Amino acid sequence: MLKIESLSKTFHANTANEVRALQNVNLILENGSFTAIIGTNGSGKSTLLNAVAGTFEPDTGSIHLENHDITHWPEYKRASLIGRVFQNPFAGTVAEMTIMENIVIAMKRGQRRSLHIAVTKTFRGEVADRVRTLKMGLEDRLDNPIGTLSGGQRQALTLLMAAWTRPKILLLDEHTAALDPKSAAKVAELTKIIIEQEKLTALMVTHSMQQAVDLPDRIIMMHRGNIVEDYHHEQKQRVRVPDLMSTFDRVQKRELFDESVAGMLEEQYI
Amino acid sequence: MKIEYEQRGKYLLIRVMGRLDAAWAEYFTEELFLHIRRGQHHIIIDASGMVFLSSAGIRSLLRVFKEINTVKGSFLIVNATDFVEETLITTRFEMWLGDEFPADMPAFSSGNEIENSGIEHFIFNENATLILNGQAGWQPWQAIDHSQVKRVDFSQDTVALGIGSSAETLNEARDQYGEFLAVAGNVVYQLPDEQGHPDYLITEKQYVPRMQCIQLLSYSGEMGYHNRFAPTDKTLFYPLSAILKNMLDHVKGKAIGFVMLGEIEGLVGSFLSRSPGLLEESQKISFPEIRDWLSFSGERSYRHQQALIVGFTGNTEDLPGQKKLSVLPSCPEFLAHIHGAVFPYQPLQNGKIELKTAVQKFFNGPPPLAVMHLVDDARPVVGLGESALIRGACWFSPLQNPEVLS
Amino acid sequence: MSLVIGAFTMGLILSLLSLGMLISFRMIKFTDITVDGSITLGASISAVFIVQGYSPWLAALFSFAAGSLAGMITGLLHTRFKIQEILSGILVMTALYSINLRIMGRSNIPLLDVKTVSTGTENILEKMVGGASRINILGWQVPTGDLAVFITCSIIAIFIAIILSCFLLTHYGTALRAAGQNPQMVRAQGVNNNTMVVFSLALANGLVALSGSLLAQYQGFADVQMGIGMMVWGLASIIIGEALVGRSSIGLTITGVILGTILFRLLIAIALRWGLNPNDLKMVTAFFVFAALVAPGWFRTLSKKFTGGLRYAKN
Ligand SMILES: Nc1ncnc2c1ncn2[C@@H]1O[C@H](COP(=O)(O)OP(=O)(O)O)[C@@H](O)[C@H]1O
Ligand SMILES: [Mg+2]
Repeated sequence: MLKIESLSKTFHANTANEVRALQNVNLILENGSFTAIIGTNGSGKSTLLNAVAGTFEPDTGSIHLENHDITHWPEYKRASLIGRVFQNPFAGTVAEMTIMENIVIAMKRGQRRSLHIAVTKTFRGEVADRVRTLKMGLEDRLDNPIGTLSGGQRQALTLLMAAWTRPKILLLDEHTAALDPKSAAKVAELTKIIIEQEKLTALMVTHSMQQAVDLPDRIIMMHRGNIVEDYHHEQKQRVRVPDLMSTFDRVQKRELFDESVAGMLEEQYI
Repeated sequence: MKIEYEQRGKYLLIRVMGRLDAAWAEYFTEELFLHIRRGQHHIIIDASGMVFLSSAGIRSLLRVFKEINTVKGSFLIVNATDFVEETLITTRFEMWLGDEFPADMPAFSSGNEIENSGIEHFIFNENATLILNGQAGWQPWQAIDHSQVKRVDFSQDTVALGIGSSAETLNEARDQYGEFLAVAGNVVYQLPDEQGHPDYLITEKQYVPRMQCIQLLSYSGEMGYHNRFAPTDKTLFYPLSAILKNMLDHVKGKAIGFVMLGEIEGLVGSFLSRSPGLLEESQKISFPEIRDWLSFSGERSYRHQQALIVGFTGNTEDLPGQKKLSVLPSCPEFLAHIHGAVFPYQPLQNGKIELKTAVQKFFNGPPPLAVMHLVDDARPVVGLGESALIRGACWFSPLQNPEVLS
Repeated sequence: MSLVIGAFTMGLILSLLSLGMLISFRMIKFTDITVDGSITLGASISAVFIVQGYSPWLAALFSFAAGSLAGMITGLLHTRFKIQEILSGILVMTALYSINLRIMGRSNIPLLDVKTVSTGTENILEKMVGGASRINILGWQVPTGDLAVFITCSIIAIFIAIILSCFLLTHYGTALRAAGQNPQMVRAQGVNNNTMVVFSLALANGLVALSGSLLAQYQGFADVQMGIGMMVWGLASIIIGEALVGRSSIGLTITGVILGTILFRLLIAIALRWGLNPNDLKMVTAFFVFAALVAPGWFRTLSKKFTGGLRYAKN
């Protein structure tokens, strides 16, 4: 279970560029739940994910994952509990190294990295079996540098790597955004399959409302560093893309509702 | 494909040259719909230059024909080539074909556009009046007292606006109070629900729509007056205050009740996003908490959709000390309380039309898009202004007992 | 022939420098200027210990440890205190100049008639050939001492190359290689890539210092100036090595670097033989590296990792 309590983060505090990227965010993700975050650009979606991943320390608030208070853990230490897939297909793998080597690195996530030879025969078989499940024919190319693969293939592998050690939470940051539509659909499908098979808890930022409606079982909408909407349980079931659009609309209207509007309505709303 | 238009009296003569097939059908439909929207309800198609008509083309003609039918206009295809004639006959649309132009069609062009007369005025009954009845007077932001909630049945001859819920019991209603309006036995109301879809109730056989109202202004009686308004070269649209002024000018009473139907130029309004039933105690709610209770349209919204508007208005000096109307800032001599519902666009018949039939068409059509309490946003610089309509109709009568509004 | 053997020996010794730089510059992608100081550090520490009668092997080990410490400090300056990589290296290199003077007590220590790492091999060789001072190899008369140094250095270089290859193929080594290419990825995979930087620089400078130790023993002196330009020589060697064998596997890369260093020394020996002024040597090398960095074509693909400019503290 992931528990985020009153999490705040302000970038460039006390300057003209001050950005309140997260404002007192509270969120609890149940084990085995798959949640999508949607929201306008700059609404703090990635910042929320990065806060969980530990890219920076929050100004206030706490993050608990399972029974650990990870608020002050460094990024690499949290990785033992967290799997991540980034938007950029190049970010999640090492281009110059082979598929095998990349997987070996991911497989040891959260464990001591020993001085034993990493890529062994027995291990190759196991990797080939897992890679075969992607149905991309990559099991025959395990010794090719990962840089020779397409973005979609790399992202699929990154996903596999992120899920390999069954992390307590899987963080996906617009992981299909940089792919062509066909690969994006394929990776989205794999995402759902892997999360279901491994019964992972997942938090996915997406730019695609269709994806948000189709894949997860909960949708969170962010705006200006706040969670402004949370479609859960039966609400999630009935929500469709136009509903999300109108919610976006409403959120933006709320933005326009300032003090002068309040003054006007005080006179006229009777 | 090439389309030429020529105004012949009330008729719009359209010469279609080229192929009416899948490639052009959509364009053709849109063009004709635009003219229907502008009030061209009598369309004659000169098909002498139409060399080909496909199934897509026929479907396009059918859509135009149906739209024309809803406004009781006319639709005729003349001078059809053999191919077109044969196609229409074999597809059983021969009723569109005409041998010659209608007898009342002038032989020569009568100017480019039909003459829009701006505002047309009709009087059904000069002596008709409306009686205000069944009030409920919730004011923001009072806690709801169950004894003040009025349960009201909205029969065919009642027009009303207010805040209420369609729930059966007061307990269920608690979190469901929202803006509504009722006309001719139909109620459309906005649940203060997150999704923002309005819902509606229609009189059917024994069933009469019923609401639990915390705020209610309703009247019954006869609509004695009728206005039609359409844009002219000078007036592209009508702000609400202009329509209100025009209506008040025609009646001798102090205040009127009215219903309007019209194509929207822009609506500015506000509606409950949280039910007042959830108020623990009466209080003053101001910024920023007010944003949790009220939504504001934030822009001139729903352009080119159709509005059904219900309201009350009167001269400020004639109605002293009232609580249920508010001053229009951009036109301070008027007081008003107006609710508007938005429906997807459908054309209105030209000329004198009957309120109930016109309204019924919208309740029987695609579902409504919004219900709101209209406001006049006269804030300096950033104000969105008043709601305005492009063309439409209104029905009104003086109120017999305007003092009830106080 | 002794020219060739000399060039080979020199190449083998400096290949440790190149291997160290392979780790810092190529693997962890850190532009490490410390090298010029740590090679001298290795030389001076070994010189002092050997002069005092310590075992040359022990002295070499001390050199390795001292070089590691220097590298570690550079790494910490960068990762802990967020100092730019080049500046971190410059700070340590500059400090090492004084430290080296302190260690030696003067600017130059000659190592004449002392035991070196090749003394043992020389004794064995002499026993084998019955005390002759020269050995006939394929018709060439080679001094026994030179041959002994050559053999010893070969063994050391091959030994270290094998250890290094194996290390880079372990889980830890794999993570280390990844850390240089994609720090974000390894952090997401639970690797503290700051630790990786510090460790790599320690290992790299340890090898550089070891190279310095052997160099001093081979040349017969340690000089406070001897490190100047060593970094560029190392770079040149790596570039040649990659041009020779490519970078398709760890084993090949390491072999290539060793061969590249030897080839580079041979080229220098030939150039000097043909009358190149030794004073111009460093300029020619610098020009060669420059050409390799900017020249189009096959040079471009090899050198692109060096043209990235400054990188700031990761994290
Ligand atoms: N490391 C950073 N330094 C400064 N500003 C940042 C940083 N990360 C994010 N921001 C700012 O915080 C806001 C939220 O960003 P982000 O979470 O990336 O939005 P999105 O919802 O599009 O993912 C943006 O205004 C962005 O510019
Ligand atoms: Mg109202």
